[in-house]
Amino acid sequence: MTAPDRSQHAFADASLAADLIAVDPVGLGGLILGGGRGATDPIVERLVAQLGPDVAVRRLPASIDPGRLDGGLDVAATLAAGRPVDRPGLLAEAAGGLLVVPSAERLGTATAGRLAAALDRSDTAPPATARRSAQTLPPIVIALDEGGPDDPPLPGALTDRLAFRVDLSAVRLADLVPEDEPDIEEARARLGAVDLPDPLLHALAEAAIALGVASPRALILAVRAMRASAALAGRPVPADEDVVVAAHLVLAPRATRWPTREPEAAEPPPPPANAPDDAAETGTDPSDRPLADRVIEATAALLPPDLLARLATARSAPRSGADGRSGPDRKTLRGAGGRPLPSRSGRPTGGARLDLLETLRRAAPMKRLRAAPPPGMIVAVRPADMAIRRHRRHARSTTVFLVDASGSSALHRLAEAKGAVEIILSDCYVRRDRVALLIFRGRSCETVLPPTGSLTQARRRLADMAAGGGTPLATAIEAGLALALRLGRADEAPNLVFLTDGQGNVALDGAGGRARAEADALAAAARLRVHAVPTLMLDISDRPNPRAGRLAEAMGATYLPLPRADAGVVAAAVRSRVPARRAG
Amino acid sequence: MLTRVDETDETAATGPARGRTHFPFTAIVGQEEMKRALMLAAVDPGLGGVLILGDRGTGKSTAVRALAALLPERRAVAGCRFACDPDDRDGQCADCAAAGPRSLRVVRVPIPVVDLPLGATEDRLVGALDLERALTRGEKAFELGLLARANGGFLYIDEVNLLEDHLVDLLLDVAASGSNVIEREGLSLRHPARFVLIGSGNPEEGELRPQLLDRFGLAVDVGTPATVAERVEVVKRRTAFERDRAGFAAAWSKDEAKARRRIVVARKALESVAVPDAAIERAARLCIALGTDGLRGELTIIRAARALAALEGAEAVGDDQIRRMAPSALRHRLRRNPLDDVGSTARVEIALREVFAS
Repeated sequence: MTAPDRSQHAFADASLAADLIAVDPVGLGGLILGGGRGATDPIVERLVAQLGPDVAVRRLPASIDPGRLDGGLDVAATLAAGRPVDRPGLLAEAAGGLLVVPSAERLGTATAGRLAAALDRSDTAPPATARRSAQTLPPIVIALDEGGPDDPPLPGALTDRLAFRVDLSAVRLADLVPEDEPDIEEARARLGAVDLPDPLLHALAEAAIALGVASPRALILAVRAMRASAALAGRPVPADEDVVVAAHLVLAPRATRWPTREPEAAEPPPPPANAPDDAAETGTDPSDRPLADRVIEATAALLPPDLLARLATARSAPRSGADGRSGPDRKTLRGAGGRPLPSRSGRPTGGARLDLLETLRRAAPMKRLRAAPPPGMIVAVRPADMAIRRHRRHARSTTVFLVDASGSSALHRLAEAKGAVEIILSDCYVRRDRVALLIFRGRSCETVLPPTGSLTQARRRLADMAAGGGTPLATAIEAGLALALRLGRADEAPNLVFLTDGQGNVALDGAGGRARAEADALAAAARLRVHAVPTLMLDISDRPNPRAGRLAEAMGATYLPLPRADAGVVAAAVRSRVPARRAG
Repeated sequence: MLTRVDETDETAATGPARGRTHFPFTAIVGQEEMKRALMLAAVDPGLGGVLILGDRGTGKSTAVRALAALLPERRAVAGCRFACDPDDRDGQCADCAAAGPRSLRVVRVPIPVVDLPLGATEDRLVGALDLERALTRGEKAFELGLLARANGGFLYIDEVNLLEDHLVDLLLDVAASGSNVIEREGLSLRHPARFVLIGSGNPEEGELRPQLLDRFGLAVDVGTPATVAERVEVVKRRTAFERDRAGFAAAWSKDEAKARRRIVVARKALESVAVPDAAIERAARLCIALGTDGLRGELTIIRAARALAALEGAEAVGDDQIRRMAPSALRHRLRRNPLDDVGSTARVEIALREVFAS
């Protein structure tokens, strides 16, 4: 296998994935496409063409109203017709068809959960070879991930059920050479008869283990992809190529670790008897070792080149995808959020939204008592019936730790600081706050843990932290402010906690020099103050450092020198900065 | 006065009556602790439900859905839309309670296993004014919610750790009282809602509310099958099932029937299983050693051990049952320290060794 351009690979991969889905739509669930529309549209079109002209294509916007997913009484049509008119939900409309989810990274966990349940209909549906008709069929989901590296990842409930994910963001116009379209009908007819020899299953299972792919569902999807690939090629028994296709398209994007044996890129035969991993002890036939090796090699060769780097930051997040982002984000969608309260009487003015159902509920029982409704209506609605929606939105708090890991903050102080952070973390647990962890040293401020509800992860990341290098304090303040503003836009309440000795010596542009570094830090602090983000500064120098005090003042932060603060005081200080949440 | 609503709309129940072929419970590879906990909940619904924690794709949902097919039928008042238990006079709806006990006709109904989807509205869960009837006929009628459907059966919440707070509040109330009280939209109604709560989720994706955590009787960890052989077996059975559902189900029907018989026999035996003082003492000492809050830990160990004894045909609860049920009865009740590296299962096992060594 020569090494063609990676981006061209990606487009060919996506085309192949679309073909495999067309062969086994029920079994493979769908596809996640990363990148802009220019590259993703041709793939969607290809799949539509492969599925035939009568396939339903629906779009599911991330902003969808939950009621629209499941369907129910169509109030407008009911009123117009004078008899109950049901409207099927979007999920029912998309059954057996194609469901395109634009901006899937913004899909809330609740919507993703409903979608996952719809995909699980394959548990109860007839096999794929049957002509797709009934509403019992799952939709084929194409999730378009348009998020950047800072965006929350796609909800895990969904990603786990879609066989393929291909990142098309590096694809150029010149790469969009359409692949040949195989005969899907024939392949579909052959699918049921494709055999599954044990050695192939073993090879895929071993590849999954070697790549750290935990979910058994991933392996099942890989096996289905292997069969579809064989059916597409007209093979009654999958060949090694089909195993490689499955490992490459299904397992590689889910890899959480580099295969134990580093593949030698330019060496076609299997590597010499380098001690095989524990898989050898499970009693597989020795003759399929080479196949498993080849699969793992082929997969490893196709892993993104920066996987190792990304894995380094995502090491303790087993659930994160290959993109190194961790855990799903739990914030509710903008505009849809908040605990719903009973509607109250009132007119929909000044931004308040009419609660149509509630209004009708109030009007309907009065039907017999009132004069006949106007023609075309079956219920007379009076202004007094009008109800408007109310939501109580209590912002979730996110505590952002910014920890100085530079050389100047002595290591033993840092150890104490870690202790303080741990106490604050257990507090966050009780309040069910989220936490984020940023570490600054050398020239940059690094997000070690994006906002997450999993405190276990925060602790692990903190324990792994090492110290050394310069103190880019201004950069850290800017990073903290940027994150706080982003959280604020998402209706979350940010709290910043700085742990530093306040002795910046790296300026905003990365240059050394104490004077400029200090001026930059104070300027950044002033910007922070303007935005009034609740901030706590824990001074971790040996003795309280006037510089840290000044900086805290410039930020408008609470200043707390750690020497005098035992851990309990620190926790209490954080508590006092964070508005108490209602109990439970 | 409320009018009766015919049960013609789609039901969320996934019992055998739905005529779908589910992956058989007994064909699930491994995950013995999860399967055992679900069977125990079927033997003794008073156990307080099961929380299944673990990785994605490990067959949590499959197991719960398969459970529906395994459950024997239960007795219900004929024609009652809440399927009231004819033997539980206190827990019946107003209509059944008003009728004389001898005038109630009894039928056998499948035990419902109801899915509570994450995005469910409060109306869907609790029930609401039947809008269609109100609009078209100007009648005030109650539309059943999922809580009503789950009465006498199981309520399953996948990704329970992501459930919205206001739904959790509702659920906690109803689960604790066994009845659903509706006071809204001019409706005033109370109906029985006794169900076994089954939740599943992955704590790495968000913590579970402590109050909800405590609600569950048993908590089991499910892990990814570790060996190639086990993984291959998972795939093989899945593939066989997909190729020929009916054939696969038929091949496992003997095992399924056997498991169902075990549940039926264990239910009958439950009351006669002896609980010696020594077993209670063991449980108490274990809970003291672990510093669990309240008495629920002890009560659950005893209750679970008794159900296990019944399931395995033992006449009395012994050390063996206590020892085996302690981890799932206690691991979620240890005082939560999210920063503790020692897993709670390990802590329970250490305490077990200490208590049983003496």
